[in-house]
Amino acid sequence: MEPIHCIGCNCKIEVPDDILKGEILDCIDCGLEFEIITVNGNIVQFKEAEFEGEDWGE
Amino acid sequence: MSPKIGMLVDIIRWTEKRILDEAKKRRVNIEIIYGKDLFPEISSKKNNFNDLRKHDLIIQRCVSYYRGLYLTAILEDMDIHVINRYDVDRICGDKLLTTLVLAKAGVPNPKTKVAFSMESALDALNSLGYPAIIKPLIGSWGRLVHLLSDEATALAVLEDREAMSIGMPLHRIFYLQEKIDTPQRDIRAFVIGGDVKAGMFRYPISKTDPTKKEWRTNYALGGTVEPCEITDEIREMSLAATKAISDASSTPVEELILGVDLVESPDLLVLEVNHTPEFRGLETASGVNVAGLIVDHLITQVKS
Repeated sequence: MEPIHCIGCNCKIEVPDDILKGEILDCIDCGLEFEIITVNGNIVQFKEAEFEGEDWGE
Repeated sequence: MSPKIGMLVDIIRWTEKRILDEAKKRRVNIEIIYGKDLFPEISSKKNNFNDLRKHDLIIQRCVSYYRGLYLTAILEDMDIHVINRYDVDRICGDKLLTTLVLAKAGVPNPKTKVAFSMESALDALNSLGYPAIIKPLIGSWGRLVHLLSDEATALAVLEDREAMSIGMPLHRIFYLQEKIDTPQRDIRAFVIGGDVKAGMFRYPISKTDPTKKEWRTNYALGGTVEPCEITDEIREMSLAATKAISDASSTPVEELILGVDLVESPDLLVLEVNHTPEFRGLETASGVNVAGLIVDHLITQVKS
């Protein structure tokens, strides 16, 4: 898969081959988290992940 | 014919990926249903998401409690079988309702009081004695679960909760619990289909890093896990809690997937019951293929 670049620090983020829409990737440099919103071939689109909500959990 | 199973998610965590992987190993396709993409018309029965009806079963795995709860209500209204059911989520996702159900069924649980104003909360805490614990009604991962060591601390935390209630009115309902003198650990028992399939001890991060003062055992807070043998007492108490949820939600025990949290005091008490339990730490600690058991359970439920 094509890597993505962190929108915070431009660090390269590797994307696993079995990535799915809805998975979260994090930038190991600055800690920002990104949610995968589309997977098209070996290209993914992403957005900054939702901030943890008060109702999040198990 | 292969069962038609769906998995309702908002994001895909490690646990959901594990379930998908185990389904693939069994050559069972689990279709991912992204709750955030749905916009069902609920004002009539002619909603435009009839495609969802093709599923024999949908497992609800949303990380957001309310998203999962209301989507389950809509799916059930479409006569779709969801595990866990709306009434299970409604009870287990709310600590107050869970405590009521456990108490009604006679399942031992920590002494708990609920107050609806700061003044009565302070009275409740004085009667419980310090230290005590305050927990939000909704939420997980130890978030906003605080130790109230004395009245001054309690006053500060209660004032903060009052201020937070502007955005989230539930913070004005104070769920207050005695601090159990435990061996610095609690127990997670994973119940599938009416039996305890795996267990683990959970320790706070302070066990491995004494510089930390953390007392909460949540894995999400850096807590560590160890294998826990399922003793007769653990099995009995976990299934008593499961039965209580089953009865209160009119759901067969055999259908439920629950994570029961217990503390040793030294007799076991049930702390809470989780309706979309995670199991990353549990698989690590126990070596049990929890994801595989969940998939097998879903297949069994479709067949039954």
